[in-house]
Amino acid sequence: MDVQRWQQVDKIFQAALEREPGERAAFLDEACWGDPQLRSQIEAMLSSDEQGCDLLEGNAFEAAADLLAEDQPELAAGERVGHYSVLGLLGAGGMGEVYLAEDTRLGRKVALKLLPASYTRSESRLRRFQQEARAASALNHPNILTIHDIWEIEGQHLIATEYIEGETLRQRLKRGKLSREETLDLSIQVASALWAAHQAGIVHRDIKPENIMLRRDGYVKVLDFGLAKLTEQKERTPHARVADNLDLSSGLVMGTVRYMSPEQARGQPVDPRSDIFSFGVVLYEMLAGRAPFAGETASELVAAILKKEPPPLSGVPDELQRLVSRALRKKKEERYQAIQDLLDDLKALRENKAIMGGGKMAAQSAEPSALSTTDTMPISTASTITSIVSGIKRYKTSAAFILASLVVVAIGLTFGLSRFNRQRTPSNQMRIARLPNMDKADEVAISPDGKYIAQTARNAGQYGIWLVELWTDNSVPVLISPAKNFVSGLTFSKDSEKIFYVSDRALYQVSVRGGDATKVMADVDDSLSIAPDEQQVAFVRTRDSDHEMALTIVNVDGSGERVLATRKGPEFIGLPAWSPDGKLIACSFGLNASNRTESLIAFEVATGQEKQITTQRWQGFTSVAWLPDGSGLVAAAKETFGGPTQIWQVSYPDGEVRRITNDLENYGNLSLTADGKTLVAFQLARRSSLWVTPKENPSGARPITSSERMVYRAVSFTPDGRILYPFSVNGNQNIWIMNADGTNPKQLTADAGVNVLARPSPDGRYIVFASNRANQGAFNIWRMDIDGSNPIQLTYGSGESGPACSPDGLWVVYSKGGPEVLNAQKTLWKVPIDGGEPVQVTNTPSNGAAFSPDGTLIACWYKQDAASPWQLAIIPFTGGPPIKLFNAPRVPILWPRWTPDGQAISYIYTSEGVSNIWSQPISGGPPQPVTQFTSEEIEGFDWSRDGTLICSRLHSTQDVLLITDFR
Amino acid sequence: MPSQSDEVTQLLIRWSKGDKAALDELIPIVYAELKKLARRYMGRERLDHTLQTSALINEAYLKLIDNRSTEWQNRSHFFAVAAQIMRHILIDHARSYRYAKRGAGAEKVPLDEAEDLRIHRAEELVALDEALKQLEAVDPRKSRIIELRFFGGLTVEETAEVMGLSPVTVMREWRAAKAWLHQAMTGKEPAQK
Repeated sequence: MDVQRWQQVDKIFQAALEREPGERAAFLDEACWGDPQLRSQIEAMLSSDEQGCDLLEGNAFEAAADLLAEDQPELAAGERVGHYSVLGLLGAGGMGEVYLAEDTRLGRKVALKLLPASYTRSESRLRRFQQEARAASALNHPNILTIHDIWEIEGQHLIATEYIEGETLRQRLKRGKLSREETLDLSIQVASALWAAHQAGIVHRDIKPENIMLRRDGYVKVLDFGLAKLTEQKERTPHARVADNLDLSSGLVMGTVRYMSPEQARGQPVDPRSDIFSFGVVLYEMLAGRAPFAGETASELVAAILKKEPPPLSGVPDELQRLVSRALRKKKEERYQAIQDLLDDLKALRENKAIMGGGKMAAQSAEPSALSTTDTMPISTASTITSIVSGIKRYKTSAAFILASLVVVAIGLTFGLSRFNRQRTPSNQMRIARLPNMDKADEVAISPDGKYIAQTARNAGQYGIWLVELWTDNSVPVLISPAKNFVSGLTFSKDSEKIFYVSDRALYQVSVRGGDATKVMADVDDSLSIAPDEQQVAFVRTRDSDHEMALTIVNVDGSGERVLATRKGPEFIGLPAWSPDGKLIACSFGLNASNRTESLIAFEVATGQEKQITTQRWQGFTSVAWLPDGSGLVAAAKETFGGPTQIWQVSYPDGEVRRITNDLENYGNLSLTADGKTLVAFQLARRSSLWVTPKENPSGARPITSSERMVYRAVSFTPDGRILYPFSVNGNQNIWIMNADGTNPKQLTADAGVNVLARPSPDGRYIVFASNRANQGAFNIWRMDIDGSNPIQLTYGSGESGPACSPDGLWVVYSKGGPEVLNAQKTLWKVPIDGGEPVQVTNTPSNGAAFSPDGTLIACWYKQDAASPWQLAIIPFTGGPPIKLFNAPRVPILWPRWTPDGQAISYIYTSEGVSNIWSQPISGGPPQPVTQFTSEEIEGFDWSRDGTLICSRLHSTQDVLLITDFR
Repeated sequence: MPSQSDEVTQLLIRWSKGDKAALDELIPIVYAELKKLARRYMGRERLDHTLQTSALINEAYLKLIDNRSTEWQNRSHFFAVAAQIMRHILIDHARSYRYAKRGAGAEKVPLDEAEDLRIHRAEELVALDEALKQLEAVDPRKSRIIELRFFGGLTVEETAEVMGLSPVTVMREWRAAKAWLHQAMTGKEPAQK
């Protein structure tokens, strides 16, 4: 159309618009007379006007915002995002782009994920996602991707996770289906991750091959826990239409329909059984090379998920086939009800591979196994052992008689409580006996023939090796070899004739009959393992220059030194243990020194190749030893932060984990007899009790609790005279409250992480405390109501502890920085009681704040600079330098407290293993003792408003146990 | 060192005086800013599902323009310029998005209906741009009004001020332009040649 013609059209069109619709036809008849084409053009314009143009009714930015926002900022190599330096693009997917980056602070590689903006527009969903993602990561499960960081820069949300070298299961599937063995290996790891998450109340919601990473060393990592939270519909009504689930309004389809469970596709609420279905789809795809449900469109696919049975798997054994179809049942009630049952069946299939194909696999393995408790006997092991020990003390006649009679005292431990042996019962009942005269031992070892116990100790200033002959009249240890210095690495030779030990970085050997020790070799590290042929030793050597840990093997003549494997921070290895066949060296290893997540790994002696021993993770090992038949290992490790170090059995090569001890004591220093029937271990018991000293009677301290197998640590009086205290059971450290006479104890925090250092607000309304529940093991300051309700996170940094409320109830002062409690990196900060921006109070090392009763001053431990000793400081709350500084114990014990009259500051002073409370008058002069205890350490104390003093007192004991029939 | 706002102001002045090269320099700066804003807007819970382009441009304006500059006081003028930049940016973006998703050999990702919707949007925007170019050839005033209102988010009154027209005229022209574009975009170009 030329300009002239258009002007004509436009003019008539606009004129027509001025007229009422009913008059337009007549107007056009006249205006377009003789030009039907003109008329039809104008009529088309009028019709367009009536229809309107959707696009133009909005505006361009609205139309394009989706596109703009979806368009991720392309990060270029070398670009910096926070303290991460981008190295390159790893991949892009529906859930955003993933970059390889380096954490410039920690020098480690991370995967950096940019979340699409359409995922992050809801604050509440974002928070839920962050909570779940952090919670899953905090499980420290070896098959769950660790998240280092989640944060926001300029509206862009980023997640830094551990970097996995490997491929996704999707990439692997593109090369074809997996073998049965491969499928079982991968799926056991995935199921184990899901199990851990489900136990923590986290449903993944988006299990699919894209979210499963295969690491090169065989580890499987499940990614994106919690991410599905971001794409979830805000409200879902049951029976919502399928299309409603495809969340078109958010600009993204949630998850991938292909892996949705029927209930997800229907928009119904999901529970762990939804993950089981999605996992079943993945399992099917691994075995078949194609997904079980197909469809050209989303609706067709959904229809298949809801109605169709997947085609049978060809070439797959019946048992496995049954397992998969049971995971894929349409009705969730008919599916596996718990991922653990599925996991158990997968493991059973793997274990029974020898009889596979014969169809002999027990069909009932697919049935949910009932927890058998008939043959377990939950009793207090401690009291029984105590009675055994008193027996030893009473009958000093014949040690042989005592031991022989002791070992038949059966102690049925509470195996039923252990999650790892639901289907098993101990074949025998475990027996435990305590050996006398071992209280000074630094290390012990039992000889392979079971005749001797060797111990290293310092006795009357003398270091050396002492030997006790078991099953004889003489239970008194005999010194067989003195040593100049500390002795460790105690190991018997295979023939039980010699003892190897390490002293002054040299390996020695000495005959069990005594005589001079001979130096075998120099320059070894003390945690060492001797090869079964006794011709080589292995140890982990740390090079100071770069903190690299090297698993090193050397011939006993000092030749042939070679490094089998290395780890560099934050990863670490330790506790080498040479396998009985000499082919492997097992080690404990950690992936991240900061949260102490450790597991077991083995290195082939010939090649250095790594083998994963188990997928189970712990929070730190103290001892690792092989069972002499090579069928597994025993290890002392703690399962949870702050929990007891227990003895575990790990089968090899299956990696099945079973807890041998199930109590609250700490074990370590494991050794075994050659028949594998007797295990010797240290048992370290800590007991503590709360003591009250009334104001009117300073020497009348009395206990208000019995001595218990837990540690009260930091205790606090509430304004109404009740006592806040931490209580740890099975690794859950919770805050409890009880009356001042010890009655009416009540748990306030609900088994979420470690909760410690509770302090009340002066109005008695709130409790502030430190907890690691939200932040991957890093501690933050939290607040809850005095009854434990409404927990609120106040701070979001790390290494935050020691909170105290200001007397006006407006502020919480706390210390921050550095992982350890008493750390020179810590400084004092304050945050409003309702949360907000933290404000720095001190800028030199300071810790353990306590408010003066009038709220104007803070007492704390203080260093004038990093090199200065700790001093007791009084600082104005408004800020500024200390107004008073007093000398303090060399290693101050948390936490100082003001006396109720505000005239002195009290603290714990410990000397020669005995603690007392001392008070430093603020007017000056020497500190004065408050208590007169002559034994035991004090770990926490507080003053009530009326001047009553409470102390938590601790004593530790060490025993050497002989454990038989533990397998 | 000149600040970014100085730089943007100078570029705008240069461009308004006819320096075409200034636009090439301006676009990446404004683009980056708009992307950042877009992400933030998208990041908010969109209760009303409406993005206020004028608010957005206003924000960009405050951020990018040196308010002390005496030569650049006419806010409407900035909006007019910004509308052109928006058009460049959005259409460029839609074009490359469409190309990436539908272009040379790109595999169409099935099942993602939202993705389809986005591609459809991108195609619509590209079609609008083409139609607008045609309209410009026959009726530059209408094309400019569309640009200001649709790409710049200007109100009728603001458009009238920038164009030196009465609001009634803008309203009428806007309506006619929409009808024209609707026909052009639905394949019924007004008056086949």
